[in-house]
Formats: sequence, C-alpha cells, structure tokens
Amino acid sequence: MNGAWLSRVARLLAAAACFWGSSVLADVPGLDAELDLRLVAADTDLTSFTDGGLGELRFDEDHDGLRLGRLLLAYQAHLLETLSAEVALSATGDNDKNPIDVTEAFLEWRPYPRSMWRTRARLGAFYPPVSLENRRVGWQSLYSISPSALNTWVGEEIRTLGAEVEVTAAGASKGRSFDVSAVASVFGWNDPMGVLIFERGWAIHDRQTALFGRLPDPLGAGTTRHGLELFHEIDNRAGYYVGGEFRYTDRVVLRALHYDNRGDPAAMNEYESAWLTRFDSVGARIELPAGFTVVSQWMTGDTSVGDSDDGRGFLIADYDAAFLLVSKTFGRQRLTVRYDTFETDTVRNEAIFDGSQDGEAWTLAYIFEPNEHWRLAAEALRNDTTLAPRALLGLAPQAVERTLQLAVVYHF
Amino acid sequence: MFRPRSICQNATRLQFRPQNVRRRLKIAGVVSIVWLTGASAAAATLEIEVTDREGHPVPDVAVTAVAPGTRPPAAAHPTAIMDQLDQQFVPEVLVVQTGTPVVFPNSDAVAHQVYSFSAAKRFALGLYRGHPYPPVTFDQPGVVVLGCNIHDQMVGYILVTDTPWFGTTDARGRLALHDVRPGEVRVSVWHPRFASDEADLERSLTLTDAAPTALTIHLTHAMRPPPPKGTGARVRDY
Repeated sequence: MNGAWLSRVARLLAAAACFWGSSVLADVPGLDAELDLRLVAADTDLTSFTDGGLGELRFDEDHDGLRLGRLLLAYQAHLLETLSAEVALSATGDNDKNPIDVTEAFLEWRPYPRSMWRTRARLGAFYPPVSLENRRVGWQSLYSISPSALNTWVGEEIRTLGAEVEVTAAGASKGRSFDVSAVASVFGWNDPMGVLIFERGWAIHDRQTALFGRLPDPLGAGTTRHGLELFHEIDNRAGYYVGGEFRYTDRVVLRALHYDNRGDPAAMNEYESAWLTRFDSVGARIELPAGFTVVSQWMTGDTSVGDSDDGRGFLIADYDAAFLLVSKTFGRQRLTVRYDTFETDTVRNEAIFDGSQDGEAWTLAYIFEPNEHWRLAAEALRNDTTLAPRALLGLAPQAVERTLQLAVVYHF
Repeated sequence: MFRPRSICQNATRLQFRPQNVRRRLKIAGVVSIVWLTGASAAAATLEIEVTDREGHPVPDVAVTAVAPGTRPPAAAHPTAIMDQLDQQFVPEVLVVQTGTPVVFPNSDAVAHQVYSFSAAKRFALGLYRGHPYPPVTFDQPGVVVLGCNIHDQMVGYILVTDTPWFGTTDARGRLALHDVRPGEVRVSVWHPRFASDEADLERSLTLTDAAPTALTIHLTHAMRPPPPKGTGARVRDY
C-alpha cells in the first residue's frame, strides 16, 4: 500500500462525503449534484497530460482501477424575474491546484419577448456556443463519456470570461418552424489559450479545466516550470466572437462561429505568454427517425506566440479537427460511435520547435439510464496519434493509446 | 433536479393530467353548448372529420361554426385549462369563446414562465411552479401564441372565437358540434401547423335539424412538424 494509493482513496472518500453531505439539499430547486465513479483500464506507453506527460487521454496505465470521474455541483437560482445565476463546481480527483473548483459561473438575463425577437445576455464565465455534443448539465456529452477532440479542447482551454448577447428571430409567432439566431461576445482573461494545442496537440477526454485550476506543462516535466493556468489576462486586449445558429424544431441545429482572442503574442506575464488564437467552427446536429442522431463539427484555426517583426508571432501553428458521431437510443439505452480526425501543423520556425500532430480516434460508447438517479456508461477509446514533441523526450512520436472506462453515476 | 415528490402528488391530486384536461375541456364544451342553446327548440348537428394528405386523421384541429347575423349570447364561461407537462403546452391547441378565463397550471417539476405578445392578448405569468396564478381572461378574438421564457422550444396556441359553436378534433380527427342553430353557417378549420398555402379551410353549409350534416376536410399539403419534446431539465444546448 503506497502513499499515492492512499491519497487516491482519501480523495474518493472526500468526494463521496461531500456528495452525500449535499444530499440533504436534494429538494432544493435548481440544484444538481452528480457523483461519477470510474473503473479504468488503460493500454498505453505514454504518461497522461494530467500527470505532465504527452499522452492525450485522461488516464494512463498508472490510473488503472477505481477513479473519481467527476463530482459536480451545479446550481441555478433565479435572482429576479428575468435574471438567473448559474454556477458549476467540479472535482476531478487528479493533481489539480484546488480539490474543487469552478468550471462555469455566470448571470443570464432573458427579458420577456415583446415581438418575434428574443434576446438573451450572459455575463461571467461560460462556454462559447461551439459544442453540439456537450448538452448534459455541467457541460457533459450526452452521447459518450469523452467528447470529441474538438470539444475536448473547448473544455480544456476555452471559457468566455466576459459578456455575450444572442438575438433570435423566433419563428413560432410567424407560423414558421425554425428560429435563426445571431450571437456576439467580448471577453478577456483567456490569453494563454493555444499553448496546449500547440505543445501537446488535440486530446480526447472529459476533464474540463477549472477557472482557477492548473495543468502540468506538457514539456515541463522534471523542470521548475510553472504549470499552465489558462484563464489570465496578459496583454490587456479583449477578444471577441460572432456566430449564428439555425434551428428547425429539434430536428436540425446548425451552428457557425468565428473566434479571435486578439492576443498579443509578444506579451508575457511572470510565468506565461499570451497567444494569438483564432478559429472558425461549424457544426450540425440532425435528429433522424428511429432514434438516430448524427452530429458533425469542424474547426480550423491558428495560434501563435512570441515576438516577431510582423507581430504575427515567433512560432505559428495551424490546426483543424472534425468528427462524425452517430448515436441511437433504445428506450433508456444509447449506443454511440464516433470518428475523430485532427491535426496541428507548426508553420513558422518549426526548426526551433515543431509541435505538429496528426491523429485519428474511434470512440464506442454505451449509456444506460435505468431511472432518474442512475446512469451507467461504458466507453472504449482508441487514439492513434503522431506528435512531434514526443521525440524531444526520447519517445516514439507515433503511439496508440487505448482506454476502457466504466462509469457509475448517481445524481439528484 | 428531478421532480420533487410533493409536486407530483399535487399534480395528481389536482388532476392536471392531459387526459383529465381533455376530458374536462370536452365536458365543459358540451355543458356550455347545451346551456347556451337550450332555449332553442330547433338544433342541428355538424360532424366534421379532418384528414391529412395521406388520409390519416388530424387531431387538435380547431373548428368553429359561425352563423351570420347572430350575436354571441352573453354567458358565463367555465374556466379552461392550458397545462404544462414534460416541457410542452397541453393541449397544443385550445379553443375558447371570447371572455373565457384560462388557467395555466405547471405540472412539471421545473419552473415555467408563460408569456404572449400576440395582439389578441398580451400577458406574462412570472416564474412559477404549481398553479399560483388566477385565470387569465381572453377577451378579444384572435390567435394567441404562447411561449415559455425559460424553455424556448415550448409553443402553445389559444384560438379565441366569438362563436359559441367550436371545438377541437379528437384522436380520430373527428368532432361533432351539437345544438348549432339550423340554417346557413360558415365552418372554419384551423391548426397552427397547417401549411401556409393550405387552401379551402372554410366552408359554407346549410344545416337542418333533420339529420346531422357531415363535413370532411382533406388537407392537400403536409403539416409543419410538431414542437420538439422537452429534453428534461438536465439537457440543453450550451
């Protein structure tokens, strides 16, 4: 029995105690609590990024056995008639800075519509409207344990810390079955975003980075390098996004977003650089007859860091990712298969640092919700990637990582 | 958050279940028609059937019969019910006579916020669970589109009509209007999801008190899809 094992058990017990302690609040309207325990079996030579390695899955072979998937406490309160507050607290049981931390916290204002135009405004820390998978409370995927590479990255590096306004032309009052929305946001405190995708590439897992959390630097193992904290303002320049959505009842949802954090790649704070990170994202979700759902998203963008004469950054990487997911429900059961393809390509000064990645992944997931309190999920994940920086650590750039996870989730 | 047991029990006790709502509406409709027209000795019956493009019955179609030259009798209207269940308005289409009070109970565990900006009735019922509000009286004829300010996908419709002869088709797409004044009547069928270019939805008929008059309306265009089912409080798009 070693210290790591003891501390893991202690964390699990602490999470369970916290969860059961909050169960006295089970009748509080607006409170969601969820305890997600995992049985994990990993097959990989790599160390997970959560332990400072260049593995792209959440769990490596050191994590085999019983793990805490997530403790989630989500609360929504109506402060005024049209103003609500939402907060989500998460614990993931790994070596994060805080044992429990905030993943979302925002105010939402929904004035009563006076015409076909519907307005919604959010202020605080929340997810930009990219994912068509992460629809369950606490921004979890509805279709699998681990979201696609594209949406995993959103959960890792992106949070809107700012204001967002969405205006919708609602069709119902005009005898139409579709709504069309436009969304725009101005945000800050997200300057380090881009560092993970540049150094470690795309990953696939369900671990969302908390607002005050810290990840090990993927290339900092054994050094004194400070970990990655992703939600800081470094260059005092606001970022923005603009996007649109088309929704035909619940059958078709189409989304597009242009995102630019307007980072100054030459700016730095004591520990970290600002990155200039931009992307375009499009996605579609289609509900078909017989319980079939198809979801597909595509994203392409670039990120850069460091001083350069043209101001574009000393190192620049292009990146893109796409996935296709097909899911079918059978009563209270759901079966999902997903194919992910993704790459990053260092395009400036790659002789000095090449972070390029090329990969594809298959995910097969089964979810059973026997009643309103329990959810059982099983997921097999195969991630086949080639990542150039592995060579810097004396590893083979190409690797296949596999995990098998069984999640037992209780919520109230 | 799942439905607290106390609210479930309340909902059961108050019988705000869709099947009960439908039964109550039917009883209320029949009672009001008998009461309104009881003084008249001569009474006609109109039997309507609505089928879609494929010949399948269309339920929840609003039917009104208007006899030109008659004024709606001044009457006390029984309260009608527009329920909210599984994040949907139940029924999707409710027809009431002008002046009818309507209650909007919430049979879900989650709170709703019902509003309308339609010209025939503008109102808002602030955030609520259960049934805290007094009825809303619909005092102008027209179509009232209902929404929920929390659940954008929720859409319901109230057709407010002056005529005392109205109803909605049942699961077999049928409706019988009894005790209609014999003579010339104009019969209209309406559903919010009829195609916009659906024509021939209004007919003029001469009713007699000798035998029921049958009217069948075949739609020639596909209807728009129904509003989406509620995803539950735990699922939404971010």
